[in-house]
Amino acid sequence: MSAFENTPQDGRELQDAGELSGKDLFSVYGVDLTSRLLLGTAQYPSPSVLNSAIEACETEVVTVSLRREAARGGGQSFFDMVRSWDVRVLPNTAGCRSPKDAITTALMARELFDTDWVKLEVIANDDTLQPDLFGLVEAAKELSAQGFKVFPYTTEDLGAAERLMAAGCEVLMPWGAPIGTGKGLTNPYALRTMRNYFPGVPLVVDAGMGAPSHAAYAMELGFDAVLLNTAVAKAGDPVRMARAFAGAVGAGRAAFVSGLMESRDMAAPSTPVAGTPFFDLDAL
Amino acid sequence: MNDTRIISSANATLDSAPSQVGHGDEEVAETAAGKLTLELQVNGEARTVNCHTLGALLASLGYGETRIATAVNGVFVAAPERASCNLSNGDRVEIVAPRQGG
Repeated sequence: MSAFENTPQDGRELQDAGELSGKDLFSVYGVDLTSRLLLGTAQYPSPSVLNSAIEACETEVVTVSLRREAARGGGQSFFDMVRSWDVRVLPNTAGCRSPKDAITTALMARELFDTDWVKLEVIANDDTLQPDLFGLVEAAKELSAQGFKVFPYTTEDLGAAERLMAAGCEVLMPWGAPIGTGKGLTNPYALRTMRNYFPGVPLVVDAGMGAPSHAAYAMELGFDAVLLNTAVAKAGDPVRMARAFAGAVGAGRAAFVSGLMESRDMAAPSTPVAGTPFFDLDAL
Repeated sequence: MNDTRIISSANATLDSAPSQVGHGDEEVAETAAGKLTLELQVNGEARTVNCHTLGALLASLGYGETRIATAVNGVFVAAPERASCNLSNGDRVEIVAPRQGG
């Protein structure tokens, strides 16, 4: 199969056992998830709005972080809130600029949140927040060896992706666009290539989405899930936007599984030509 | 906190000759309790403290039973190890807690 084909069901086997039974589950590290929307918990106008947004979109995975404890006990209240949700927690290593910092942060996160899942970020550049792919692979290898289930925030680079998988990653999370930009899928060609190159690997588009249509597009391309934060948290009505993204993710997924039609350059009438009133072949 | 002090800088005052070796290549001396202080970086801020283990430092700062995780000089220190984690002058201590994230 060519890596450049874009027929959603061109031999890619449905990876989820749930799909065969009609449940269409998203399976990652042996965990079956119903929701394909992973949601960040930062930047909401209030804890109440965050609570409502999570409830509205029915996400099953939320990203969290750890930060220096300025006000003693402040982290506990957030942790208690997280525990009140029926979700899995995916701690991140946001802001880390070296494998060493990322590894230490992951170890601290594992103790704080009591999970071996980690969204691994090793940042290379402040302006783009682009992943440092070399550091990412190094950290992923060490963390996998220490028993972590690593969710690497990466790019569409296929070579890095292969090394991440060799390092033990069972899921890849390429960026749609730089974090917080809301630009959507800036390189759909590369994402499509990645999807087709790794037909059986869970792929999550992480970061850069600004509108539900971006999420739908990612899902139509065959990505297994999307992860976003700012587009919901900074919406005028975050709760409603969370619901909108959930709908878009569901629509995009349904479209992919259904099989999108092939696009074509020339028009083709959808209404039968035969029997058209006043039709005169000689007039063509 | 016991009375073993780990000394690594010239501005610390020794009450007696070094008698023990701590972690790293720091000079260690037994002193009267409370006479020595350490200059630390705690979450990026300079602090002069009278605590010589991570566990004692956390207690003195009021962290008690709060949900935190720690690292010293960039190395993770698990909760059960804090009480026995000796601190030295110039150590960088990170104390972190759960927070919202994307």
